[in-house]
Order: sequence, then C-alpha cells, then structure tokens
Amino acid sequence: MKILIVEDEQELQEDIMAFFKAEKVVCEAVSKASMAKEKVYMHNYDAIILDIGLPDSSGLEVLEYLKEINKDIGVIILSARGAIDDKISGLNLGADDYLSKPFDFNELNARIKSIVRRKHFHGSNTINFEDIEINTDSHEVYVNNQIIILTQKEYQLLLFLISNENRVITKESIVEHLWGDDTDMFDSFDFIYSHIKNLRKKIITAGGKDYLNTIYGVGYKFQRN
Amino acid sequence: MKLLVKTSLYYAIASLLFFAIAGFIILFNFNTVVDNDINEFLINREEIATTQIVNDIPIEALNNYEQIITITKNRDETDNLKFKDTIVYDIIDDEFHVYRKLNVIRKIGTAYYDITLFKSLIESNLLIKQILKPMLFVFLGLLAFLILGNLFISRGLWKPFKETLITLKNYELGSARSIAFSKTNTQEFNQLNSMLNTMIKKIHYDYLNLKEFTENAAHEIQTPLSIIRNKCEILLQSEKLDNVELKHTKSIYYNCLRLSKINHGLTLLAKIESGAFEHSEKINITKVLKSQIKHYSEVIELNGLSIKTDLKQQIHVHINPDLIEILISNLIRNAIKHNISNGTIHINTTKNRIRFSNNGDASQIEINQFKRFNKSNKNSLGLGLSIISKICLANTIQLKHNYDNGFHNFDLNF
Repeated sequence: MKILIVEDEQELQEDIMAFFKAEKVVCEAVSKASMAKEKVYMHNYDAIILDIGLPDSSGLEVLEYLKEINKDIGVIILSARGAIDDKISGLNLGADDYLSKPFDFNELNARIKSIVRRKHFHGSNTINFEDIEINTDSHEVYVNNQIIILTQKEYQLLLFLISNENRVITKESIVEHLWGDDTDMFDSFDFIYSHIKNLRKKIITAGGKDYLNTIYGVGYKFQRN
Repeated sequence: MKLLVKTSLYYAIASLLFFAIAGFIILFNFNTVVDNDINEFLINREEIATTQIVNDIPIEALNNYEQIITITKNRDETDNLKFKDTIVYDIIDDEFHVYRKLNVIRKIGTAYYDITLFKSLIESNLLIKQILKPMLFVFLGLLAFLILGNLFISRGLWKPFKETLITLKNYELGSARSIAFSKTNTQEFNQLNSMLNTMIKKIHYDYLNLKEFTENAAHEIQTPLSIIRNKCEILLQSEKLDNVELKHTKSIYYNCLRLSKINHGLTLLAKIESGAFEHSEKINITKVLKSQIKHYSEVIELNGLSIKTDLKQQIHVHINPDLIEILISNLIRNAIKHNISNGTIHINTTKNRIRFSNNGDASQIEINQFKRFNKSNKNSLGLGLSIISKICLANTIQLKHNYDNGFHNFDLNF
C-alpha cells in the first residue's frame, strides 16, 4: 500500500509518516498543493491524506486536479477548520472521507484502510484476521467459518480494533470512533468495558481465540498471540 | 413622548398664553374706546340741551326718557360732569338695562339746572361681543394652523432622521452589506449621518478584525492540538513507560481533547453570533426531533436513563437546518448530562411548543446558567446552554426554563 501525505505542518507530517511506516505502509509526504499535483501526476497512490489549509492554495484544488486528470485515488481530507462548508465542498469534489483536527491516529488508520478496501476490491471484500473473517460488504462476521451475530456497535468496534492491530487504543479513541461528537455525553467510559466483554464472549463462544488484551489504565490492544 | 407631539404641545401652550394676554389687551383697549365714545356722545347731548335751554325752550318740552332737566337750588359743584353707570327700568322690554348717566349742574341765566342724560350701553356691549367673537375664531384658527403647520413641517424636517433610524435598525453588524444613509439637505442630519458612518465603519473594522482573530486562533490552535494529541498517542504506544508516566500522558491526552472541544464550542458560538447560519427554510421540527431522539437513544440507555415522548403535534418553522439540529441536540444532551441516576427525560410537542423535561437537583438552578462556562457538573464544558440561548436569541425562539416538582423544564416557543 502506498499513500501520499499532503500536510504543511512539518511535525504533524513527520508523525503521520512515522505512524504509517510502522504500519508497513509506503509513504510520501509533501507540504504544498503544487507539489502534491506533481506527485499524483507522476505516481500512483492507494490513498491521499489531504490537508485543506496549505501555504500555496487550498487542498480542494488538488481534489479538482485529480478529477481533471481522471485518477481515482481515495482521498481523506484533514481540516483544522471543522467547518461544515469544507466538509461538504470536499466530499462534493470527490473526497472519500473527512477528519477534523485534532484527529486520532487510530481513527485515521481505520478510515484509510476502509477507503483502500473500497477502492481496491470494489465491494466484494473480506478482512481476515487469524480465525476471524469479516465481510465488510454484508457486515457479517465469521469465526472459524461460523457466523456470529454482533450488534452494530460491536461490529464497528471489532473492525476498528482489527484495523489497528498491535496498537494500544484508548477508551477515548474507541468512544470517539463509535459515538463521534457525542463522546462528552458520558461521565465515564466504563460502559466500553461491557461492549468489549460482550464482543470477547461472542468470539470465544464461537471457538475463536482471545486477541484482546487490556492495557491497565490506558485501553486495549488487539494482537495475535 | 414623541418629539413631534412634544413640540406641538409646547407650541400650543405658548400660543394660548400669548393669545390670552393679547385678548385681554385688545378687550381693554376696545372698552376704553367705546367708553370714551359714549361719554363724548353724552357731552354733546348735554351741550345741545344747554343750548336749547339758553334758547328758552321750555324744559318740559326737553324732558324725555333719556333726558331729565330740573331746576335745582343746589349750587354746589356747578359745571362738574359726573358720569355713572346705572340700571334703568325699560317699560317696553319690561326689564332693567345698563345705562351710562351724565349728571351736571349748569347755571343758565340766573337759574341753576340739574341736567341728567342717559345713554343705553346695550349696543356698545353688543358691539364688543360681536367684535370679540370673530376675533376668538381667528385666534383658534391661527392656533390650529400653527399646530398643524408645525406637525407637517416637522414631519418633513425630521424625515431624514427617521430614515437614519430605520437604516440603523436594519443594519446588521458583520453583514457584507455596507450601511448607506440617504442624503439630505439638512446640515445637522448630514453631520449625524457622516459621524454614524465613520463610527460604524470603525466598529465594523474592529469587529471583522476580532472575528478574523477568533477564527484564526480557533483554526491555528487545532494544528498544535493535533500534534500534542498524536504525540500522546505515540507515547501511549510505548512499552517503556511505567504506570505513573502512563497516567500523566493520559491526563495530557484527555485535557487536549477537552481543549479542542471547548475550542469547537466557542467557534460555534462565534459563528452563530456572526450570523453564519443565515440561510433558512421551512423545516418540520418534529421530524428533526424524532431523528435526534433516535440518534441519542443508545446514549440515553447507556447513561441508565429512560425517555418518554409525545410527538404527535407537528411543528413547522422557518429556520436554518443546521442550527435547529444543533439546538435540539444540545437540549437533549443537556437533559442527559444534568440528569440523576435512573432518571427520566420527557419530550413532548404541543402547538408551537417543545418541552424538554428531565429529573434534576434544584441546586442546579442558577441565574447565570445561560452564560458561558457555568457548569454544575464537572464533566461538562459549560457551553451547551449558552449555545442554546444564542440560537434561540438569533432566531427569536422564546426559551423558558422552570423547575417544578423535581423536573427541569426547558420550553421552546416558536
């Protein structure tokens, strides 16, 4: 997998790059819209992480350029403005997703993976993790080829955990992924525990292994034993 | 009191005072003239009578009802003219009339004559009345003319002022439309308009600057926050941190999230204030309410609360679709956040009204609860109610709160 990071903030760019490199993703990074246009013209990418506020022009211009040269690359927009206008115009111009700063790395990772899945497999698409198989099209989950019934939130949780395997995921991260802007509605995130418990129980009951490790005081980690 | 009414009233009082004084002076002058005239007339008649006596016309022939001549022995005060107003009985009219009487004693030849002459005052009184009446009409007419004239002239003169007021009323700070006062040929109003123009331009400039600053600050803060948050995540992934270090890192992480939420809320408030949500359309609020309740149903359940709704009444309002969603979701969030454990939320619609009720402590009631950063609850940002009241204010929705029987009721009256 190869992605292009268009972000003018040097430190943020380096952090995103380091993160995806650790995920074994080939990354290139630029800090200007003009350079981004050059890159997408010359190379092929699976996905682009695109900041809207760039020094030479708006990131939306890169989107327009992609349309112009007829390249179908998954684009996720990063915007510091959190403005609805940016979101709408970005999505109208063909962006696949939108994240507002400050964002969560795990969230970005999960979304990039989801975009790449959609682009590459054109709908028929399964994720395999050891003995777990997820059909992201029909939202069905199989453990040892046996279907297990998950609630909407449990399904989202499992997908999020698998997308971020081997990484510590905070409860905040999980709540934000599942509830978006409503994270502040909860006095404590302890209820996440019951979601995790149910998910774990369903997988184990179906004969699956327990991949979920609790990192005390921080969160959870999904890893192959 | 309106300026026009005020000036008219002052004009009327001043005119009436002037007319009263002028009337008295005219009446007095007129009376004097008429008096002198009558006295002159009586003196003339007396002269005629004296001449007639001198010409030996017998006094019996000279006596009539207006003239009494007798021979007198009284020799005092000869040639002294004595005028007096008196009442005389009139046989024809069978009533008393006011007469002027002239009494004089004259020595003609050797005899002394007491000559008394009468002149009726009826005619002259009538004359005064007849002259005063039209004069009063003229005065009243003049008064009416003055007041009406003042009204019309003032209306014309103050028209530019009224236009300025209307222009100011319609002006919205921060709108792209610049303010334009109509030109007048009154120097003072032009001065006022130009001063207002300068002032508004300055305020507008400052406002834009402040807005830009706020927007920039809000925008620029997000990137460093992003970096802090992501660095924390990197730290949390590290396996070398001990528990205390992890705890501190988590605290930084958590507060970073909090800061970004506050920033988000303040930006939203600033946007509502600056009228960024101007576009409006007809919206079925009950529908929005239903979808928001559905959206929050899981959160409500996870917080251990129950919800009862009665949404039969459909409410349609012209409003910005994003704003109404923010408003309703904030009210539901408020009802969730400030609830008690195992509490309930009631939401019902009646004609043009939505009521959100939730269990809560009476101690949470504070006068300033619609102000920013007023929080009764540690976890809330204290911006929710402030956003709610701002949206209501900007859209002339009446927001009422009361506490009744363990329930906080928030009413939206459209």
